[in-house]
Amino acid sequence: MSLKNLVFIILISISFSCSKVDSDKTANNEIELLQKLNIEDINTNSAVYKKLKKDKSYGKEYVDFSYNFEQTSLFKRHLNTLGLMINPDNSEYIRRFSYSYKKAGEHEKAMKMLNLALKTDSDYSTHLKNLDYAAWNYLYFYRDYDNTIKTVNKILELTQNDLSISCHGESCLLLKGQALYRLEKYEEAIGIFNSYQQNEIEQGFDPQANFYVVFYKAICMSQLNQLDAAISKFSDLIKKHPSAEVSYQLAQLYYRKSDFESSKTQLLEAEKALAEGFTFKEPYFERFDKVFNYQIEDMKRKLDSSSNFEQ
Amino acid sequence: MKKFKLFLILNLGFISSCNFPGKDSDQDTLYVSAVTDLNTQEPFYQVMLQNSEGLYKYDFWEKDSTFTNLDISQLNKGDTLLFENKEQLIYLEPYTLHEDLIMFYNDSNLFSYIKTAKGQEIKRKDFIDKVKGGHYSTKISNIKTPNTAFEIEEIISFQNEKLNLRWDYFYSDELIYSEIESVTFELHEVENQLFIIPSTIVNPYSIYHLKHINKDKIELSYFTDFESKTKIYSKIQSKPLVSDALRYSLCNDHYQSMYYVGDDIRYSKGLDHLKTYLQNGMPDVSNEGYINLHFTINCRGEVGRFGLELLDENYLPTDFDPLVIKHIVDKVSNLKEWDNLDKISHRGAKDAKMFFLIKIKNHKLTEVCP
Repeated sequence: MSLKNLVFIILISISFSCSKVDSDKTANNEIELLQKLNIEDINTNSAVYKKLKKDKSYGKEYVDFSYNFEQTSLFKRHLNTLGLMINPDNSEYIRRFSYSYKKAGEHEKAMKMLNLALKTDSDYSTHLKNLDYAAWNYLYFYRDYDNTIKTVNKILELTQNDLSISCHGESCLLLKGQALYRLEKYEEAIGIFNSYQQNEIEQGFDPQANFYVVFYKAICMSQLNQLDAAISKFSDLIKKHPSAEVSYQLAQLYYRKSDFESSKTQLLEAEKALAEGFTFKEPYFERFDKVFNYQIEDMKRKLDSSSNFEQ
Repeated sequence: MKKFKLFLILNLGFISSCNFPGKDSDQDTLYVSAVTDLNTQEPFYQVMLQNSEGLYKYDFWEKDSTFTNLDISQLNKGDTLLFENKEQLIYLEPYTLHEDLIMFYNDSNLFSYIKTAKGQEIKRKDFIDKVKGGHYSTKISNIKTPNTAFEIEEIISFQNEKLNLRWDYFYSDELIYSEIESVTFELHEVENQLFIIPSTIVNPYSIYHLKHINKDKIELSYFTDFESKTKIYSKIQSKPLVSDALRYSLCNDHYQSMYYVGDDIRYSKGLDHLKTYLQNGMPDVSNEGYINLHFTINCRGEVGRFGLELLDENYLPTDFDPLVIKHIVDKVSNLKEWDNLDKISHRGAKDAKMFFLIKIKNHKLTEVCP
């Protein structure tokens, strides 16, 4: 055998062996992914599955069809799992499947799906969506402030510090600011809220337009004993957005300043707003500092003992 | 077409019996009604038997049978089963991986059935004689709410026309909580197969098909999860009921709405108040993570049907001290103040499912979510 032929055979062998390794690796990755995706333990030995698996387009059809059913229902989950098993190449769909478990409070499965979505190859925009949903989850579902901050930082890094970036419908900076507030890092939180507002000005928007940014910034000021500044922020806010929460915060602030009359007025406003339904309302979670009737009653008693409060 | 008739309807009210014409054969195929709503898994109460004559359908509530000479196994998408009583069922081509699930529709209603093996032939009287006074136990993975951490023992007994149900919830071998319920039940005998329907037409539970019974065991299949699932109960000595066992029932057993649907169901005083309430008397906690307690709130505002999931700070399964779990279950089971309870109506629900995700950090209960 000539040296030229020998080199050719060796090169071909190497090439074959490399592609075998690559294809084995790909196959193993797919098997591993499918095992993780089979969260509902569907029957992959079924003849129907084997037939469907041959055409990936059925995957999308099944997932889309599953949305016709109630999100937490067993039937929806069966179809959704089946769709993802037929076509596992869509991290957007994997993330959206996590909603079914998240809403039902099955958090081990929910996080398994969400983490799988984050680890699955996806385009830039989908990866960002997966991350921003994760940040929103960490804050509101788990009150996991460290992971909220970490995830928002990652999003900012990926977007080259896009301060307008949104996390599942809310400003990512609002999420980070709230997480810092809950960690009692009030000055840092105010800094984040300021960054958001400055960016809004630069974009030609009203910096006071985001109710929650102003609300939580004012709460941080209140925590830092900047009572007048906090009163000013809440007073501006209540002109545009009357709510039980803002009035209640004002009542607290006036009480701390021993201005019991103003405190009473705001407490009655809070009570009225609550009765009329002007309060924080979220379907899936409870916002921080939401106000409840018992708090108003407690404060009435406190005011009563301080100043013979009367309704 | 060969005529058939309902052989016997007893006057006892809670019992019916029906045999179809034709010789009983091993080739006969039994289909038990599963659900009539894919979202709510609402059960309905029929059985169909395919034999050499054709397809017989018996309705447990109507106590009436009908017939068509068609064969289910030969149906194609869109074919119509036309029964003697003029009822029509249009065949839906299977599209799930539940191989024994067959689905039909008429008008806007869905009817699904599960193909299942015949069970032991037994007369209802013999069944009653066998189970009378006995207690039977099995382990179940969950009841109504998601559960990965509790071990749940279900104990049943049939006494004085009542099916008594008891659930003991264990964690780390410690009994955390017990719940009891008594419901009336109906026994239906169709082709020598015995079917048990707990509760009433107003609040019906899943149908059970008796697969096997002997002096030590009862095997019961149920069909509401789109496939036939079997519970195997072992006969046990009667266990004394724990003194604080809660008598609890759901106002609509087959479907509960979720806490976030429609007007949200919430603890009236909010999560901060709940945190303080749970912290009061809380034993020391040695590890970190989340105690996720699932439960139902019935139409009377009572809490029960618990489920438990325990996660570490990386959202992976972990363990907590059973004393901590007991403390939390005791506290939550006493909650009675809920907003919007009277507004639960989604898909006919009267009760709701909810969970509290309790965060433990630095050995303390720091948050209640969501």
